[in-house]
Amino acid sequence: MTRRTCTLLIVLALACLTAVITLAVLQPWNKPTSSVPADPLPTLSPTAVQSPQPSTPRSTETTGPVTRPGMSLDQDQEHQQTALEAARIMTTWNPSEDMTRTDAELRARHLMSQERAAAITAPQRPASGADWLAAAQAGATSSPTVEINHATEGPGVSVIATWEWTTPDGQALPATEESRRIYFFHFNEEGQIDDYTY
Amino acid sequence: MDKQGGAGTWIGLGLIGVLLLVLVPVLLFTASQEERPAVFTGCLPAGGDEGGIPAQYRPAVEDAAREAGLPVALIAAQIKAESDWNPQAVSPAGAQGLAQFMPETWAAYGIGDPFDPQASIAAQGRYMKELLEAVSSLATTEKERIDFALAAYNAGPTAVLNTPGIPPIPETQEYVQRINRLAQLDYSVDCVPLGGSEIGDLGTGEWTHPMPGGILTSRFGPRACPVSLSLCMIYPDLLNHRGIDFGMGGAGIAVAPADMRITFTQREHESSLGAAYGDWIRGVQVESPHVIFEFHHCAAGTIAVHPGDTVAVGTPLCREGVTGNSSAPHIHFQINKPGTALDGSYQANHAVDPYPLLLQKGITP
Repeated sequence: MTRRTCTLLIVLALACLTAVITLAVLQPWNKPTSSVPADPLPTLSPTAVQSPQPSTPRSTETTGPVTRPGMSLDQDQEHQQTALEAARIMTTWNPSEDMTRTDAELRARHLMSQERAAAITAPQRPASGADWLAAAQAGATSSPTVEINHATEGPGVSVIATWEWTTPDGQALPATEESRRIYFFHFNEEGQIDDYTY
Repeated sequence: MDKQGGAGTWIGLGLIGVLLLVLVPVLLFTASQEERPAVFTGCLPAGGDEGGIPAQYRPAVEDAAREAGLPVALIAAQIKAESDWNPQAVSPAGAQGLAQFMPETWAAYGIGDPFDPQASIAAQGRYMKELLEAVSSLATTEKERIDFALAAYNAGPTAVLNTPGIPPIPETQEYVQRINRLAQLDYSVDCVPLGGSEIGDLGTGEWTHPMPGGILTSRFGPRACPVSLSLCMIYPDLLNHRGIDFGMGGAGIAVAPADMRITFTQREHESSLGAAYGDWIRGVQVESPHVIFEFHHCAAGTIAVHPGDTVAVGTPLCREGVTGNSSAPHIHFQINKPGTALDGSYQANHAVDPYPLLLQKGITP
């Protein structure tokens, strides 16, 4: 190896080393935004404002979900299971066969009171949208994921449903629209859904 | 290589090395900056590179909006929602073209080929005009006029007239909200919502997310009736969520969304309102138009401000919690109209949807 080749290699190695160090230093730019809030900004007035500090938990204070007031744990869990099942059915569509997205709500009528089930009305317009049309063309159906949404107010049960469009051979279609709904279910004394919104 | 040439080569190589050492980090830094997601400003300028109406359709959309007597952003958002600007789109139900006309509707409003984008947009204008005329007598505000027209498009004008208003069809309610959001986000001028801001100009001061990193867990508006249906008929306010909720699994910190003066704080046990709101805070925006902010369900004992404090945008106020009517940690964020009471009285009837206001200030909730 000539002296010149050696020098070239050294220079290139140095450049590579610099690149690696630079990338390492810049890495935080590409990280997702931290969930920790920024330091408090100065107040406009001389009033001293302290950052909120976790206090000694009171008896009902918790970081996890709690049973809804006036309800037994069993009853609460039963409602949650019904709500999860309803949200799952309501976000399972077959665009090749469903005229509207409400068609899926009709399939969840067995979980509802007679009055609420009878009140389901489908809109006049057939369903559309880029994802719906693409799914119909590909013979895809929606595959929902449902979870209880505790971070809201009672007394009903809230469920967050997300979905992706899956072709018969299991391929997921790229989503171009929001694929998320927040459901709110309310129950009658028999544990049936007697109203819902999203 | 002679001695002089050898030295020259060494100097040359040295310079290249130095240049590389200087340029490589600069180039990498620049590339890294380009890869960083652009700061999301909430909505895209109409006609911009990344959003807005495709240039070839803009004149037709403007004509259709004029024909219908509706905002350009509304017609654009509808077409985006129908076909994503694909003139050849066909739905399994048989809807065709850019505006997804069903053959029977096209027979009434269309002229020519339903797959002709210009003809499709023009027909959309004529169709929306007729729908608007059918339901506009119900509307008392510009916002209602727009929402009722959208509801009539989705559910049919008879359903809107019979309700009267937006029918209690969740899919229709979702459609109305979706078009409003889409219009403001992608097709509005200066991020102003359809029908104009409910509050008007929100001032020039900076705003921030009321709970940075918080996940939106409930929108403003219709909710399942939480009590008996008859009671909900008597108290329609029960059928509406008067704010938006954010959750972060207990780690969320509510912050001042704008420079604000704290006017009221209360612990859960201190009043009947506190029993529902938990530990809560009310404050007023320092600058005009002086909207009122509320934060409910703060974790017990974490309120870090006091009535009379004036705090800068971003100042932590409290930690999310489960005080009051809450099943898991979250913050209920509410905006009341300017001029409403600053004390601890019930003001939910004066609440407006914070979502379009946050979008208006460049914040995506």
